[in-house]
Amino acid sequence: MLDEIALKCGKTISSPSMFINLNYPSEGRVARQIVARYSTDVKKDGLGQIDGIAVSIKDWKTVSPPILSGYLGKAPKHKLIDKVRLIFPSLYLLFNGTELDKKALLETINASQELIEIINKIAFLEKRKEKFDKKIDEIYPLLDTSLIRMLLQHQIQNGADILISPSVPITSNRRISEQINKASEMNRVSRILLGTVFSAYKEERDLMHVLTINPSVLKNDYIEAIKQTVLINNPDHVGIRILNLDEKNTSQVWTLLRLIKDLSESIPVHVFNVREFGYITHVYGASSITTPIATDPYFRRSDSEQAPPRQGSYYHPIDMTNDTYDAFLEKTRSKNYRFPCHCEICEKFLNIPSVEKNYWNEFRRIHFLLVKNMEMKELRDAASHLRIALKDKIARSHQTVWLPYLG
Amino acid sequence: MSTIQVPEVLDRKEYLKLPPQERERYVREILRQSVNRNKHGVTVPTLSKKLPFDSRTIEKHLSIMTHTNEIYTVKIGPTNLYLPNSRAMHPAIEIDKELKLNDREYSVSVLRNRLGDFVFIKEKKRTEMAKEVGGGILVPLAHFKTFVQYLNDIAHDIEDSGV
Repeated sequence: MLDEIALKCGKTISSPSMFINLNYPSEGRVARQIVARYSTDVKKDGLGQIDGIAVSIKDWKTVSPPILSGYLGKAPKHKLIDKVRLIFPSLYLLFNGTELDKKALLETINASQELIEIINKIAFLEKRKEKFDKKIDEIYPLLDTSLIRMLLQHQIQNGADILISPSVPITSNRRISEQINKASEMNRVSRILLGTVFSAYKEERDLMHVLTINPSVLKNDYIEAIKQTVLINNPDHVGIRILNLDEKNTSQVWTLLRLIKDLSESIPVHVFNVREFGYITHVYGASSITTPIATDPYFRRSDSEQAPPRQGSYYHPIDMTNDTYDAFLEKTRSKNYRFPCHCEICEKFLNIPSVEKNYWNEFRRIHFLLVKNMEMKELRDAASHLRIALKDKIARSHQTVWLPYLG
Repeated sequence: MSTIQVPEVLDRKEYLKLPPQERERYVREILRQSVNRNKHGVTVPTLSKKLPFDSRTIEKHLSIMTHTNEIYTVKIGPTNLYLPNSRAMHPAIEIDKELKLNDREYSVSVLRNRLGDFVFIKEKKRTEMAKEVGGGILVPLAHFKTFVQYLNDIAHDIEDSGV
């Protein structure tokens, strides 16, 4: 039996649930292609198991056309426009993003000249510590009510179903108090603005406070304060965006899972930017996870929309690994390069040489989404005994690093 | 007067960063919520002690809300006591239905205030980002049927005139 989370907008999230993160226009096009071509067969439902889409505010303008456009012929069963929509304020990019990310974000949010100048000035500093301190000392005062209002308005105008309170990341043990205070304050302001300035949407949109966190700061001294940061003023949902998860650091992973478990006892918890680890968080109470398409969540490629020079990695559905093109060729050589997958596109091409090299990147993304859809179906069918089902799946994969967390 | 309940608010410095039109909407909404939270009424001095708005601003917004019948006043000596009209005082009669006509919403509630029992008809206008109370009328409960009959007659007259 799935847990249904009814949203104020009328849509629902069926937990365990998965959202996909669309970062590039090409990813929006691929998602649309799947919805249009692979949702016709009743048995294979394209992205039918994917409850929502998440897009950064800086990418919304370029990524949204395939989501919002209509269909000339018969509309498909699971349209992207009907999925739960999240538009991330992504302010963490001002602190942890590339220069191109920052530039795109500042342009989108129509940032003040003062903020742009400070960010440009900090970019030229050489020492990391000095850079970090300047960001807190000089950028924080400019992340004010006016900017929060603008970021909420942007989400409302573009049809976000759950509004996300803009806030700052919590990443440093040295200046954690200032980071916690600023994040709490921004969450508090968002709730007040939704209840006053945006009162028309108070009853129509849910509000989510998001904790953008480096797990290394999750220590006993601060854990309660961190929880209060995301629970301040009673949001409808809590989100956790993990930066730089070190899967080998078991104590960090345990603390993170305990945090998710504690929070999920009182409020729906959504975990962003995760891959296989996301499935483990479901066992600890996370309602939904958001995954990037066929990329490592902790690796950022350059911001150019042009295809990277290499052939991207293929998600191996049994091993649950991201195999580079060459490694994948090696792995499948003894089986005539046959795909180890039964998704529709792999069954169509059957083996690696059949896929033209210039189609490879699109192919592997379509495959990734179809497989994730199938995996979600598997998890949902096993919802009543999720821990056992996951343990079984992971034991057969190369992701056994997660087994200890499944008891 | 004992202490009053007010919603959580932005600091003065924070709310002054809102664009002027939204600042007005913000102050009005905070005052609306404040009056609604205090069924025994609020005065301008008690509100200005608790909220980061000056008394002239508070008075201006309360005056507008009095005109739209969202709140009403009772004079106690030299002081105006502002009381909520939006809370239904007859729990037995819960009316959840709203009538939506274009960008306006009409809601009806039956309430008892210090001046008697009334049917309160409230109009809300939906702007791009907010729902603003456009106006409201109070009809004495005892004469509500007569009032509806009066409206029906007007509706027939309008129909007959072919407008």
